Amino acid sequence: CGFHLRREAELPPSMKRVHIRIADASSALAKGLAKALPRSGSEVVDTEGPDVATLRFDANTFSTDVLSVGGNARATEYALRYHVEFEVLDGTGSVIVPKQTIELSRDFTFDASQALGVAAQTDLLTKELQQDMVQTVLRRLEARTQAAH
Amino acid sequence: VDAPSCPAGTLKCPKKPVDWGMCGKNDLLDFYVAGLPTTGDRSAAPRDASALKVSTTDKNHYVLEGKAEIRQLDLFLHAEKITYDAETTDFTAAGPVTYQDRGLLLSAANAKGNTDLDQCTLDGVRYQLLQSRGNGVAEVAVIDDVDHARLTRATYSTCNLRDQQWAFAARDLDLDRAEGIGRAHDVTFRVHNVPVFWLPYLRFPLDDRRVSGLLYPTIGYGERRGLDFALPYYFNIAPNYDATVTPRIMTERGLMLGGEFRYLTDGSSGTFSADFLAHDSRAANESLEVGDEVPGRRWWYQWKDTTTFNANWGANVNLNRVSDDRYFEDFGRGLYSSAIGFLPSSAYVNGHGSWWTASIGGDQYQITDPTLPSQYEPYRRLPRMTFSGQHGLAGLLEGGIDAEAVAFSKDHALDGRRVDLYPHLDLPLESAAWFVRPELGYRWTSYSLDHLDEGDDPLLRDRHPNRGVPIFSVDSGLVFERSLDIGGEAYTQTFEPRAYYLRVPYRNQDDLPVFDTQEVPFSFSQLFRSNRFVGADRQMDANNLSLALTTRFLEDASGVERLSASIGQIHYFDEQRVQLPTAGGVPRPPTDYDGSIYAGEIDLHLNDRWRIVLDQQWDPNAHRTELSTFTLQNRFGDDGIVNFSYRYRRDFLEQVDVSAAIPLTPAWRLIARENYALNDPLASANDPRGRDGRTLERFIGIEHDTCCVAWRVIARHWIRSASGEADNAIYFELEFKGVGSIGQQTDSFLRRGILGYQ
Amino acid sequence: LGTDRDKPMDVTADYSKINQGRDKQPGTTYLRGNVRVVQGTMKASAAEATIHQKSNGDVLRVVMKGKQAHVEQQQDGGGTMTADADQIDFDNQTSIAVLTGNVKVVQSGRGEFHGEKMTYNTNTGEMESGDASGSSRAHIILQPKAKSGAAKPADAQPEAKPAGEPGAPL
Repeated sequence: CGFHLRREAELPPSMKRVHIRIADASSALAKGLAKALPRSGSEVVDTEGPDVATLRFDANTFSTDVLSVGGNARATEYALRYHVEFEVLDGTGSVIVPKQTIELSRDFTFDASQALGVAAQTDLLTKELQQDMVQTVLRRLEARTQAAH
Repeated sequence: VDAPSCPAGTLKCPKKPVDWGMCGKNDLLDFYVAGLPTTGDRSAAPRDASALKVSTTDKNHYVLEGKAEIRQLDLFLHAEKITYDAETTDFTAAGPVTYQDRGLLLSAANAKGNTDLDQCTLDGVRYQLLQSRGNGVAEVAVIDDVDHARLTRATYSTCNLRDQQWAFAARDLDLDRAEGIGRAHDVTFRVHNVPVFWLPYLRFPLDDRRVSGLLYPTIGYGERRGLDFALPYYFNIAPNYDATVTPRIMTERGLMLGGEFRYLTDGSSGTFSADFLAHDSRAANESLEVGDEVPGRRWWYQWKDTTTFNANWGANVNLNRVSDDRYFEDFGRGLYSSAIGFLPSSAYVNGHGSWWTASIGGDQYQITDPTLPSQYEPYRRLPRMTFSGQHGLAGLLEGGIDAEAVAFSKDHALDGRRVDLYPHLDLPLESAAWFVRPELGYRWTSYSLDHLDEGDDPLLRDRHPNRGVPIFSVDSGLVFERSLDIGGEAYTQTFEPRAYYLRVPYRNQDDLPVFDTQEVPFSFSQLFRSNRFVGADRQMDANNLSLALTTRFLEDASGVERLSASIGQIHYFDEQRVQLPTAGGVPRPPTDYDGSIYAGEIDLHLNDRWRIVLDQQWDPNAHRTELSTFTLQNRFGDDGIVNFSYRYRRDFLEQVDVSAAIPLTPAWRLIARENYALNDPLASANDPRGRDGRTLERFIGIEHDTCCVAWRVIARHWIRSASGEADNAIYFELEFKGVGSIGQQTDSFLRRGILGYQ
Repeated sequence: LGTDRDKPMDVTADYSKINQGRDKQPGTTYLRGNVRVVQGTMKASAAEATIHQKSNGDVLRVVMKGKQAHVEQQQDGGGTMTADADQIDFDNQTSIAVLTGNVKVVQSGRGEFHGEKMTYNTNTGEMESGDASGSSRAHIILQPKAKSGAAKPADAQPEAKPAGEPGAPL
């Protein structure tokens, strides 16, 4: 049915060296990408430069919103949303990948009678969303730069 | 219409900036000369005086007649006749005069001034700000310098001059364009020329640099609060400090003083907010024991702060406290706030390096729902230290550790300290087409519990219980892809089988206390977790193999994932022996399923206007649906949006939620929502009304938008209290664009009620 | 300078043709090619010039034409004044010069003057150009005086106060 193993997805030569510009350099997203990008053949450097592409994150925010409210006017479900906006510019500032918006979310129930682990649950979902976001951003970069060829 | 400013990909949209689309062409701008520079030092630019006829009586005094003009960088003065003294640069201008600079446009009967000092006095003035909508008339306008103008007997409005729906009329009005603030004295606020109210002094934003302004009174009525009127004052203490004090009068309750102080230093930024009601008269005559030690004294405070010490260490604080658990129900800070059952407070110092992160601090929750008994309150975790790191050891082999040390305390409950260590080795082998990630670790958890009196759980004899268990897992997966053509568009479809084997030997944990551990509701990501409990008090035993399949459709042109669908299940080779005890502390029997719930997800991004998300879980052991949610979002026109969602969680909730904001004409928009509970197991336990379904929230409203005034009326019916009583309310909000609004603040409420509302 | 008028006027040119005035009729002198006129601090140059003189030699009127006739003169208050125009018609008795065609007058330190037609009194400094009903515009361009001014220091600002969005519950 035409399926074949995915070939090595090399990022374009203009992204051979990448600098990640993000407000919170210690965020899991920045660390995850710094570890994953070398596998797609581009080296992550700490400073911008003429031959260095900049992966710029304009938004990198978590938000917790009430998803549903029960008959006792109490929140029964929350949605943890992770919203990221990024673009890639080359050394001279021209756009390699235009502005991309990615939003991932995880729902979790909230039963007041057993809310002991609500903080631990939020930490777990946050970690998983961050791991997912690293993969989603990578897929978007590879698919986007493939399309450009 | 180009892509909406908030694409369907993002569900919750930020507040839209003020929309002047409805304002026609600004006719005052007929004589506006476009293309003049708007930056630069005017005094460094040459000055060009010209006219049809130029004459001088002596060396310095020029007379310009016939379309006379003075131009200098962004200054442009035009009149019938101008006299100009080259030495002192004084000038007078007669005949219809127009004055234009980088931020201001005036037409006047005549004017005089001095170009070197950038001063100019005009009378019989009509003015228009250029960087914002502000315009009006004035008897005299004195331009002090490039950024400051003083007008006497002036009006200010953001409406078109022809159609002044509202305006301030003031004895004097200072326009400070450097700060973007207008200050006026002896101000009468007129709507369609009818004086509405008078203020001795008024301060309002000239552009959107500062959203806040004085004119922000919120007016509301509720039978528990009576008339509710609040008028905030904004104090700009310093460029990086400001404060807002909000006196709020409630006829049923009394005078409540609210305040918010914001600060920004080079190391940290934060906000301290508080509300204080010295004596709650309604609580007194209802003899409710509310308030802290002093009955009737009600307060709330919040301190949020983010501080950076150096490249590696920082801190953030988020403290929230209320005087009593009825506070939010009585003085809701927002229309949804009554839904808060637990008010979180936390303060942590966080550190991070290239391979590690650490945190030291504590957190606690305060119950703010009167119907919740105190034993539901989560433990205080103070102090709590965490450390986790992952570092390459040799070649592809990586080593890591996750560690946590916590002291738990709670009134009338067992207190104790717990240390949880999980060193592990990983060997991630990856390439584009496959990955294999084996991990071997050992989890060691030990407790030291405070003295046990007889009333305690007999099982917990040992004061230093502990548990050590090895954990082995292998996560593996393949990625196949093929390209195909759908409706003329080139797509890449992926086919991603994934297998996750987990082996954790059984350890009897009945003697371990339950401090912060809870079973997480089943979800697709549960397939790849090494523990189905959050919190270290329980580590599940496992001999599991999770199999899952994901397929994605990536649109080649944009790289966007148009469709992703996944299905998966955990296969259990052994019975599941570790269980959380029942509420009474009785250990639960093991379960012996051979397969978990099937979990499936579909996420469809048709384009920037359509989004469909489907989640489904089916329990093969009980032959029933565990979870079924369907969410659809469609955007149309400039800011039209429709949401439909059906949510079913067995024994938990079953709801339908339809919400929409439908633009009828560019000026009129209909907003509506119906959130209907088909059945409501949680609530109907103590409230029979919930059994055969009822409306949780319904509102219908109309929005009218004109050039400078927008108003909105919403009728709302919703379940307000924990005991299920419903409430009805009418909200009215009148917004004077660019200056402020009167009435109930409905924007954030609408953005929660109608997903994607803008 | 005011004293220029009492100075002798020295005129040179490639070709000149003089016809003497007879019995009270003023004589005229035609000059062609590199016409130079010097009188005190006033220097003038043009492609051609016509000088009208009384029989006793006093200069009545000088008309200069050229691809921009040029006049320079020291000002009483210091600085020089230069004027260029397609035609300069100077009446020595009234000391009024009428300049026409792409007139450009530069008074050093004070500014330039552009226009199509200008009358200028070299003694009083009075000047007039264009007429209210005309179509062409006359310009005065004044150079900025050196002015020291320190730019206002920019300092940190809390960003715009967000509309009152209550924090998410958890």
